[in-house]
Amino acid sequence: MRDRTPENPRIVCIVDDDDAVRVALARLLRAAGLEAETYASPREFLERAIDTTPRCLLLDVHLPKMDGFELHREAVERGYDGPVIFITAHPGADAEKRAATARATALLAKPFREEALLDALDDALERARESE
Amino acid sequence: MMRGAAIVQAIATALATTVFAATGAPLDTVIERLADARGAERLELLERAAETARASAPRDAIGYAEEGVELARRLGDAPAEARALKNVGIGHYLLGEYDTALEHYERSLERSERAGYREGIAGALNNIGILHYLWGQYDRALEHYGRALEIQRDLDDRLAIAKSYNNLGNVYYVIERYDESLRYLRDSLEVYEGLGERGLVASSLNNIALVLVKQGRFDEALPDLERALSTATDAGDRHMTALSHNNLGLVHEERGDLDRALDAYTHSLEVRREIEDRQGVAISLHNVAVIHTRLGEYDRALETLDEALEVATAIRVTEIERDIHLAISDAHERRGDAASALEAYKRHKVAHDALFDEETSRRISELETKHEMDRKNREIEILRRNQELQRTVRNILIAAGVSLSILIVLLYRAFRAKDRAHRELRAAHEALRVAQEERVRAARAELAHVSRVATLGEMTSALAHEIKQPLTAILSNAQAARRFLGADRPDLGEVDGALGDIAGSADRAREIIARLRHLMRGGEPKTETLVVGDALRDIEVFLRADAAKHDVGFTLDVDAGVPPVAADRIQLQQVALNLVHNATEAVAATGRAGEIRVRVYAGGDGTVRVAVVDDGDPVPGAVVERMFEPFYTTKGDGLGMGLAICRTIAESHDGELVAERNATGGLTVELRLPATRVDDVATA
Repeated sequence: MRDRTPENPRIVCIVDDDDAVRVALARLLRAAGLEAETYASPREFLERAIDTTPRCLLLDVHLPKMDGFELHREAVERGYDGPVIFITAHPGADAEKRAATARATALLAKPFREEALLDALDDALERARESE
Repeated sequence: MMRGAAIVQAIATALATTVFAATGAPLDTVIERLADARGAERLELLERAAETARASAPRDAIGYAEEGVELARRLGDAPAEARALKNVGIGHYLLGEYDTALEHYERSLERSERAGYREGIAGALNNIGILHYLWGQYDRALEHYGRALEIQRDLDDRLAIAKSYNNLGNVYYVIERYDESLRYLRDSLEVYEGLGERGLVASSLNNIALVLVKQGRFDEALPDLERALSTATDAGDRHMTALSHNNLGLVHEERGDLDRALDAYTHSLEVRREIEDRQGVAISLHNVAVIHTRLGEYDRALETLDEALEVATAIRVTEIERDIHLAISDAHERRGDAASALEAYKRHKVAHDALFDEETSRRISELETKHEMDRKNREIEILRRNQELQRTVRNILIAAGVSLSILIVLLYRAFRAKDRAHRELRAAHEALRVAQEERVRAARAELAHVSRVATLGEMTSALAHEIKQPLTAILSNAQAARRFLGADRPDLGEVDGALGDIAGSADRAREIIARLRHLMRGGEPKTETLVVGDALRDIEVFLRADAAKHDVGFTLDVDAGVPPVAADRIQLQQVALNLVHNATEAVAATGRAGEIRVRVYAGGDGTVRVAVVDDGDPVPGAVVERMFEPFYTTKGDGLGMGLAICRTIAESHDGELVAERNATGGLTVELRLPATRVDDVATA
């Protein structure tokens, strides 16, 4: 089991429009000692999250109005330079290409195992620390 | 004689109980669900209501069953119609309206025979047998029960077999063949016990006890009756509870234990009053009074008998009236009032004769029918001889060489032969047409099914998405819960939250699979009265998922107050699925953000309309003209059958499917179905 020191919280921002998935992911992250914030739509994220300086983005690809890749681009334009992990229920060549273009740490196909997600988060947070 | 009357009546009631064995959901629940049920569901509830209500409120049961007859006829469900007719009959039977009961049983029998519905035939035969039994036509009763039993054995319907055993036992009881009676009744008891039918177990025990009473085996009858009473009470079968009390009274009376007899009859009376079984009340009052008379309490006896007479007269059951008059006469005589005793005895005699007359006139009318048939047969015979005579005359003329006659005869015969050939040809043609229609209908249903499954196949990845979401949530929650439990001080609140959410997500996946299976189902279409908006909301998750998969927006708007339609739910959903899937592909093909709007509204012309509007690229007029033709497709991988089948579905519902180009590009495809008329809905 991974242990996180509470004085060094890693804030992971989750954007997923499926209530059940969003709540479950946040709970899993909490259980692993990570701090998570959740957003139901790109708009909600863009309006509220940017000033909490997230350490990592965990974005669903299928989102209303603007997809996960577009949302990431928008966040980068607004100054975000941290890592990103995409999750999708429709994996495929197209999604992989776009994830690579976004220089994502990982593209995870739903449903995924805990190890896959937490390993990807480890990598991402490692990368974030290095760039600090 | 008086007590004899009470026994026969008791057996008759036991028989009736074997007819209304159906239990299940309590009446209140059924009536509550009935309030907004329609179509086949309503039919089923009406049947349940009729079966449940008749023990306490036969008149209401008749009402439910009569509505069931109407509805079943409209839905073309012959077995349900036969059962409903039988239920109307049972209601009348319980009210002592035997002629009306017979009429409905016979209609039920005829309906069952025409539909080849064997359970129905057996059930109707059985109930007709009961009426013959009541009328004392025991050989006919045996014949009907025997025929019913044969069918039930074929069908291996154990409950029905047991009922027939019971009924045969009762006939042998009244014709005083007690050993055979006991054998049948005990067979019946054994099957009922095996089936766990407590009400019927109590009924059989009662009947067995009555046979034992007849044989003078009172001490053997008592434990059977006590068991009957406790079984009936446990089962909450109050008719049977009352009957068991009554029969206990009978045994106590026979054993000379008048106090306990009075007690038992009084219990029986109380229960029957509560359930408003007026015939039972009259019998119990009579029995209570008989005990009062024997105890020398003549005033109380006469008072009770007055009330009994009032009830019996109100429900016009002459048999009971007759016995009450005799009991009144008996009480007066013992008190020493010979004049009143004579008066009552005369009334007894009048009722007795009336019954005798009724029986006699039934016999006369039977003989008249036979006589009438003989007369007709004789007339037919005379006609036949006349024709032979005419032929002979004609032959003589031919022999006389009247060539004209030959010609006429030949022409006449040729004409007759041609006419007959025509008739036969027409009949053969009609039979062929019916068979063909049947085949076409089956093929059409199969084609619709295949096309539906194919459309769902094209939507596989969208459907998989709907399962993957809850699965993702379930996995994450389960893993989170394990981590929380593994901590030094487990946060049980989090664990509880995770488990609750797992259950919720699993339920969501289950529901999606259930809806999918429903759509995958094949078989003949079933027309029911349904609300189009509700049918579409049932599959909204699929429509939405398919659109979302292609990044196409989706809205479903249902206007308020749209009337229902008569349609097959699955086929209606299939049309919507197809139209939305086509629209999704059209919008996705544009490569830009677009959306689909589905709107359910009432057309001004008595139609209910489902419009599927997309904002895809403009469609050429030639495509719109041909898009409903079979095998016409603009998709590389399509078969071109989807829309053709949708149009066939629309037409088989007396509706239409039309496409129109939107001014701003894209198509509006609209399904129009005739709305169900308001008066149809009120009774549906």
